[in-house]
Amino acid sequence: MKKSKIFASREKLAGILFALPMLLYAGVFLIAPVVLSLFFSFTKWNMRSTPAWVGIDNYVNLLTDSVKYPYFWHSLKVTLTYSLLAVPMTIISGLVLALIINSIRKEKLEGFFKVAFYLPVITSSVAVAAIWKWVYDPMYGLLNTFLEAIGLKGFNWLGDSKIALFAVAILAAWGCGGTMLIYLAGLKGIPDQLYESAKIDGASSFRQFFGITLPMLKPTTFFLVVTTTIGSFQVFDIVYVLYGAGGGSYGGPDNSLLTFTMYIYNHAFRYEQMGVACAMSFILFIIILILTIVQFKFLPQRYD
Amino acid sequence: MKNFIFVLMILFLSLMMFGKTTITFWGYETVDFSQKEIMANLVDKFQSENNDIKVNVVYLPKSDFEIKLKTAAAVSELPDVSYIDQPLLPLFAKDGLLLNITEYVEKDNLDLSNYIKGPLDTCIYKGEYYGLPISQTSVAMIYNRDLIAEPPKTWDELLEISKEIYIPGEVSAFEYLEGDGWGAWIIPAFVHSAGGEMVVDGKAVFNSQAGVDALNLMKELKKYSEKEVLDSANAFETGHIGMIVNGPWMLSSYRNNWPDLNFGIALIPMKEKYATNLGGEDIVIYSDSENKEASWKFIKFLTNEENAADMAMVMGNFPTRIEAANDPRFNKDPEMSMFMEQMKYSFARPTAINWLKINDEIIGKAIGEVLSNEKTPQEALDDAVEAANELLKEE
Repeated sequence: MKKSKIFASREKLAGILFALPMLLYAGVFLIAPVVLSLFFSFTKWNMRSTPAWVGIDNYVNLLTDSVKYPYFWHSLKVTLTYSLLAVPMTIISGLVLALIINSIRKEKLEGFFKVAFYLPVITSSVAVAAIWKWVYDPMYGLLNTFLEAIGLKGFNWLGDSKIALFAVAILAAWGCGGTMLIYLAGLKGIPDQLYESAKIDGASSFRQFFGITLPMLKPTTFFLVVTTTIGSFQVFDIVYVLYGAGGGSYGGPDNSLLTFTMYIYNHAFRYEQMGVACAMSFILFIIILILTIVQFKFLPQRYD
Repeated sequence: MKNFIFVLMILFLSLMMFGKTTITFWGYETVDFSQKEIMANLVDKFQSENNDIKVNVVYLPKSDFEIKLKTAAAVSELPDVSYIDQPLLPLFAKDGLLLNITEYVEKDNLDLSNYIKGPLDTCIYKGEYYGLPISQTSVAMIYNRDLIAEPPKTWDELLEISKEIYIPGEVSAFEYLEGDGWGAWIIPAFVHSAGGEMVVDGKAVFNSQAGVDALNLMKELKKYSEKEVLDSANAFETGHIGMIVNGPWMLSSYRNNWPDLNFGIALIPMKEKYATNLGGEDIVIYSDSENKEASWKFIKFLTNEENAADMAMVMGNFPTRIEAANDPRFNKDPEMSMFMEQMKYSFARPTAINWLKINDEIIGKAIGEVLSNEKTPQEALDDAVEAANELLKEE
């Protein structure tokens, strides 16, 4: 009796010890900053002076004062539009790539394509930006050269405020390797018998895809839609490296790429309004929370 | 006996250490090694002139410098002395982080008239001095000699030449200012040139005729310049742009990476008078410093007649003292000396708490609205001035 008790408590201790590094990490680098920034969001703080308590002023001003924060709603709109473009594009291209890889029956070849398609995900965003700046270059870019070769007119992809957002969303879809891997796992999990019986029943591969593959991937798709949406609401690095370098303006042409997180960054580190920046991040948190709840409520999560 | 000498030596050394004041100085990581050598020589010279002071130089990357200073300020870990980007000085001074050096200046009878006025003015907050200017830089016009034989001197000539050299889809005349932070940063040069001001006595006044003229000029220039060409990578270096407005930091890249580029430097064309923007750094002492006297000696030393030119070399910028500007390293170089010439007509940026926000979100927006024909220059600037004054009220 006693022995087992000691054993249990030792086991507990070991468990805590094992979890400790991660707990400490999360506590110091995740939970503490969140709590602190909630506090700072109710203050006026430039990182130098002592924070002055202003109550809910930051929140009210952000939402209502269009002189002080002329781009608040604009940046929200940019982020929303970006998500509406990037999320479907990422998910569809991830699924297509996964289907292609899944249809390869040679193991080595499959491995090669997996790596090839996943490579953009682990490439540093600075390198990605450098590559795509060349692809999108209005005079000598790969894309425009191609378009002109087939008789179409090229665009100023990254410089035209009307299409820059779309061009960056394509770039996000290009980095769909993560989505592809998860879809691939989902595809491998679909039992072969389903396809076999469908074949016996004479279903075309088209029917098989819509009748078996897509419905069986519902949980995967749901997971991906939720996580990709959250990710695209926080899009930052690619916009920062594409438009941030040189000049000191981070919003792209006519601020058409001033995303919400970019706006937060500007306030935190450029305009010296850390309190406002913290308030903005909490507004973003609430928006994402609501969006996720809505998705959980209205999107199909399982196969029925 | 041996032991006795040893103990004596230790005692002597520790006494020496005790008697020495150590000041910590934060500077930018230099671009190349020769600059670090010049800095080390300066520090050696200072220490041999002042036996009781030891200087500890810490180099930090320039790109992180500002954030590093702000975080250090948040936890009271600031050094004794550091560079500071000009527009940050009033912000730091307002929060009481900087030492007011006015009385030191008066006590030592430091002749401030030896400093160039533009940079010196950036050290003033509420009429008092909070630092000394240590480096300055400005923008001038860089043009392609293969496209332009004689650079334009006036706005009229600028438009004339633009018309001449413009080839649709091939050559854009001028990198006109767009509605972004960079455009908003450069536009004051044109407003000043037309005889206007950005801010007077804490009130935004750039909706004057001068402001309208500056925006109209950009609108005109846009006719002879295509964004598709301007946005292409290295468009100026490859001969697709006739004229740009940019700073001396571009020179080493042009010289080293684009040997075929035949470029020249000229003053920014003027309407009523030559004008440009001023950038650069000041050197400051923090009010928490325990070695204020030693720090004062050090910043006085770095900016004195003898060392100001060396210091400018360390920073890759221009000196802030009138005599130092005659150093051959600056005035013998044909391109560098043109920037020096341009700097004589420089105006400091307005020093307001919210200036960067006004720059990006209000002035930048106005330029964008005019170029996209959403508003006339007068409408856009009237709206901008109203919004800017709202933000300028905040102290």
